[in-house]
Amino acid sequence: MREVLDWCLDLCAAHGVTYGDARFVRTFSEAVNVVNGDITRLSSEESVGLGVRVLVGSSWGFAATSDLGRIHVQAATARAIAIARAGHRPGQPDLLLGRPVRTRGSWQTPVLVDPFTVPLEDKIALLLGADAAMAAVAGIRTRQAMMALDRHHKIFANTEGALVEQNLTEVAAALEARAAVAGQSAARSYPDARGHHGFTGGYEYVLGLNLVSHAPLVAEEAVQLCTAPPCPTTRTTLVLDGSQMAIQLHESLGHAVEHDRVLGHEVSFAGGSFVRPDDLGRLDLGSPLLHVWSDATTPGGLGTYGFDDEGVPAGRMPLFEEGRLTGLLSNRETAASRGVAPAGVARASSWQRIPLIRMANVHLEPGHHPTLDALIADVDEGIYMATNRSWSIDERREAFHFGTEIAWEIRKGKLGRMLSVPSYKGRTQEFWARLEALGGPATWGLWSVPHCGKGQPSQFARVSHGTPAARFGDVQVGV
Amino acid sequence: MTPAAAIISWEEDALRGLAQEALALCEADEAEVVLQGTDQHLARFSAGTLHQHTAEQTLELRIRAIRNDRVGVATTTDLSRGGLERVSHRAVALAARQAPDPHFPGLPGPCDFVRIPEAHHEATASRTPQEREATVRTLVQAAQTLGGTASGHHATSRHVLAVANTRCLWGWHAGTRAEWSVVAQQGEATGYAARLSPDVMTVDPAGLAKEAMARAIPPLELPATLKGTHRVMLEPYAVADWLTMLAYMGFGATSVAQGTSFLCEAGETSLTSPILDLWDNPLDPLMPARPFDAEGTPKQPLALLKNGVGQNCVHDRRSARQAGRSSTGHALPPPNPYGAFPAHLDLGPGDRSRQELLDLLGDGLLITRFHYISVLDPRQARLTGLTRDGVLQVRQGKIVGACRNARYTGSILEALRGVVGVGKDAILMPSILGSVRCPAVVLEALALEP
Repeated sequence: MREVLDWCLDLCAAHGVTYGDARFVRTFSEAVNVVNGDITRLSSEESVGLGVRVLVGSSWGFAATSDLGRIHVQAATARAIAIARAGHRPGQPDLLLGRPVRTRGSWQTPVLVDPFTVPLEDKIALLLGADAAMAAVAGIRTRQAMMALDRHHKIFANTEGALVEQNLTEVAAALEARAAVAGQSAARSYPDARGHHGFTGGYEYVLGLNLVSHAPLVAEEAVQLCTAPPCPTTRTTLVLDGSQMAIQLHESLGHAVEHDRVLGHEVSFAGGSFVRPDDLGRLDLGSPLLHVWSDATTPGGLGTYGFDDEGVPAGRMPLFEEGRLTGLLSNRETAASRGVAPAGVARASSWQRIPLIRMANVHLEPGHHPTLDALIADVDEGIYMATNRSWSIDERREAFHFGTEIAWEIRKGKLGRMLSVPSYKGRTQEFWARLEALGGPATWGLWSVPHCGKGQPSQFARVSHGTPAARFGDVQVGV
Repeated sequence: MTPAAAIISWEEDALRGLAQEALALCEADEAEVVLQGTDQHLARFSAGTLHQHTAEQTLELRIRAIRNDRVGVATTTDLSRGGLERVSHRAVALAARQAPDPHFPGLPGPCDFVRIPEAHHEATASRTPQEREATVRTLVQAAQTLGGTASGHHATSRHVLAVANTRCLWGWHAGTRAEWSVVAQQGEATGYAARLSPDVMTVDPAGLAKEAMARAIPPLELPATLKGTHRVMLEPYAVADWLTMLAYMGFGATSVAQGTSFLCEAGETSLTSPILDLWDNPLDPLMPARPFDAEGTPKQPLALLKNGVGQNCVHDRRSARQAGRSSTGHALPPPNPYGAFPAHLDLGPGDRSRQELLDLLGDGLLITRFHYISVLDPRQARLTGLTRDGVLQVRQGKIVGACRNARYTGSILEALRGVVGVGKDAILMPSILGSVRCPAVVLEALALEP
């Protein structure tokens, strides 16, 4: 396959482009869905192709093809060059990419049990077992059990001399029960909503979820939610579980520090950011507890890899330290504009798409309250919310509204009644300034956002967040 | 080598040969092949600068193998002989591990599909990088002439869909799409405009930039909050956002079967104002059209709302069999967890000009579009979302200034029950998986909060 990449790079060299890279990707996916005991999805998908990116002076061009014959690969390369030339204006300064990337190496996801060698019958049996466990609970109308497995074989090379090869393996599985009782409907998920809870790794992660043993509680809580009182409308102390903290972190801070958003490149589609280019080192969210970092090396994270799609090695960098903005997620181009090293987070969702600045794994450092119980022990009155259900935030990542699947009232340091349709809202900077306490390492875990959308044509990235449970003061809930 | 030349042949005979080769390799009782091709070119710009220009060509083959009512599906973009052998083998192997599907309706036989040659426009298919770049320049300069900056995208593409099965069904359809979007900015104020057309020559990019600039009005010194209930005019973009969410939440047979659709308990009760008629309109060449779905079922116009009352949900063959109905021709490529989907939404126009709608609004707000809509309760069509790119204050039918963005949280069906006027000028724009054509509407009330 390296020969195919050479066809691209040789043509780039022959045309005297400023920079060129070629990326081969073969993705193999397997999915099983069970709905109410029926296998509604059993699929095996393979997508193979090549993307070529070219810089001519100040202008990028990109072309992709699923046909890997020499004439077609060279035609795609010629297309990319023609596109770049169409946008190039003589006299404009060349776009800078910083220090050349000449990385050479390989990387593969550590896997104990290769998920593609596990018999399909075993996977189906696991999901049917979880389905049966949910079916045993009266009042459940719709039961779903899902599993998805992906493997990406990627080879990247550029005109600067980089050549890297990677094999990434992802696994995901989840349950959902939807109850209909007394004219009310409610859903409960495990481990997380939105269909998938994913990791990079082997089938050991799927087995570690213990889907069957968790299934009864998922179904029971869905039924109980149908008759639970609704979350009251009030301002109160709010405790969030790791799942909800992951989406809170993702939407309000993770996207806000993507350098392309800060520069306005996404303003017409995904949106901009409240962070301005000159905020680095100055913007203070007002909470000394807030330590956020990007880490594309976290074991098991969906954003864990050896090299990004510009050939930059994966790394770790701080984004907020003691509440102060100290880093931006950047690619080679935006990093060079600031004279810093790229963050190694340029990722494309497939061979057809260009690399964009994407969150890899963005984490919130845990605090000192050893357990969830300790976090709520000194709350006289409040609400504990768990498992994200809905999310909405404005295009500058300021005004947000989140819903969770389930909540419990907190009275005198203890969990009380279950509450249905919980929700809360706020504004990003005010909200983080109200961060009172963080759970310790025992409450910290990896949660996933498997379909993070951005860009045109649209791209869906897989992202993980390591988050602890957290407590915020004086939050508007029940909205 | 000509960069703009087709890399993969998508002519009918070539794809038919490819499909037949795959079917012949598939050792199953029955088999179906779906070929989907995309040749897409897209230019993005921000603050007046082109920063992304891409091209992609993909041809994907999807094969569904059936053995003893057991179904397996596999896909590939590797269309070599070896790739076809492997994908066929994978589909058959999956079917062998599957339980019999009691609801599988079998594959359809041959059908004479309507041909829609007007869906393909050569000017769109052959658009060059220079021409797209020139369009971007026109958009940007038109905004600059009016004192603003422009961000957005311009895309041209051609698409092909072919379906073949072992019961001698064959369908082939090719069409083109051209898209434009622009966010115009003046200071902190933004305005939006967008279009979709199968023919790239039918939209004036400078006019589109002017439309967006007309909404990029600096905010008035209004009270700090929009909290409260307002009489509202929704521009077509905002109407399209809501119609797309209705399609997603409730017009598919899967949501009805699972009890999450607003259609479940509606019966003959009005879902919206009686002056709203909503169709799925897949054969109109402007939409852009598609004569059959991913199972080879012919498409027909289908009423979704008539006089505000729910009429139909959309089916694929499996959900139709479960419901004792016929497929409506809305199958997505199998297997997918969402079931059938209406991808050509068409809200019937009214009889009011834009100024007549503004006069009907009187004192109220003009909302351009929505952002980040999230479903809270699909059975009530209860959503939350924010306004975006132009919330304008209207006094006595005249736009007098802009307001800051605000959030709504509530049932959009309840809001649409208060529609008192519908515009006569509909706009066609892209949406998830397809297109929406709709006019502006005036609502009696929409609750907003900062």
